Amino acid sequence: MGLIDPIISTGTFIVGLIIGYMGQRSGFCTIGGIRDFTLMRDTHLLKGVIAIITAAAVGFFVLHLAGGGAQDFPAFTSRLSGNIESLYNPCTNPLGNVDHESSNTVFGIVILTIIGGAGVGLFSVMADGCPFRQHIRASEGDKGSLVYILGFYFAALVFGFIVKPIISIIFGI
Amino acid sequence: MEMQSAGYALKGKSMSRITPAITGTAIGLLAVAAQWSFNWSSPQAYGICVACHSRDMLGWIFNHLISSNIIEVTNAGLFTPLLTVVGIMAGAHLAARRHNVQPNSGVDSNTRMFLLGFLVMTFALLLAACPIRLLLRIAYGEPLALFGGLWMVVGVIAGIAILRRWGS
Repeated sequence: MGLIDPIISTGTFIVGLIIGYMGQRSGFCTIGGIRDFTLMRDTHLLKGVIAIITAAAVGFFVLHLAGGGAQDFPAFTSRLSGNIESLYNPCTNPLGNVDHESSNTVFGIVILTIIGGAGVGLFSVMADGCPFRQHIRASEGDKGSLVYILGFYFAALVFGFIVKPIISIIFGI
Repeated sequence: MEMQSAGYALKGKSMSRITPAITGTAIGLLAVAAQWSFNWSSPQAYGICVACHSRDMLGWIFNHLISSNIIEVTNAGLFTPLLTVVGIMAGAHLAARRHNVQPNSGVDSNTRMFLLGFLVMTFALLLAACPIRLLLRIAYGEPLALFGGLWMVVGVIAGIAILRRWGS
């Protein structure tokens, strides 16, 4: 394995390029979709949210049939059989490696999902857009959004040093 | 009246042929295509994520700069930087340049926006998803993602109430 995998790096860049272009033209925003629907029953942006779920579900189903990269689709079948590890991606799990035996860990993951979900919704609507929308606004030249993504990136770098130890103390892991 | 009191206009509504529904469809399908290009040990439903991919990319750069593994990244971004957010910004910049889009004059203070960006990333990493990846995880059939999505809606409603009460 070399230092850079050209397929993955170039692939993700091209994917970003396409959705960035389309996102700028359409004004796509996930949080905005939920907000506009809640405030005034406007479904213009909400259609985009529904479209992601529909298109990705169909895509994952095809990928599952083709046998590449969607092994345990649909996920709830393996989740229901008690495979706790697949309940939550251990790689992105702030609790570190998931302990299969510990009900404490499952409790922690559910609590973190509540806190995380509510926090993302609350602060995104206060910032007037989801992270995707902020990246697009910053590219248009909006200084507020540019500062937003600087804070966004800074949080990613310090997460392991500030937030993760606090979680470890609370959940005793 | 609702629109005026909270300062919301239909900012996102453009007259472009590319609608949010078409964009959402493209995001869903391209996320699956990106997932297919990852190796088998990558997280599932990970094709597009604004929060996780930028964490992986910055972590990869930082870890290589100081030759360590101090920042935890996923298997998808361990050996190569995930350039999704760079692509998004390049694509959006291209679109804005081609169509002469002028930026909205920001009224928010820099401190507030920096703090909000910091908080959204922190809570997104607790959730293990940005809103887009949360939708991908829901599409993948993950009950926990649906649960998190319901709480995200609760957060949005709380945010609207706060903005109404204390202004933006």
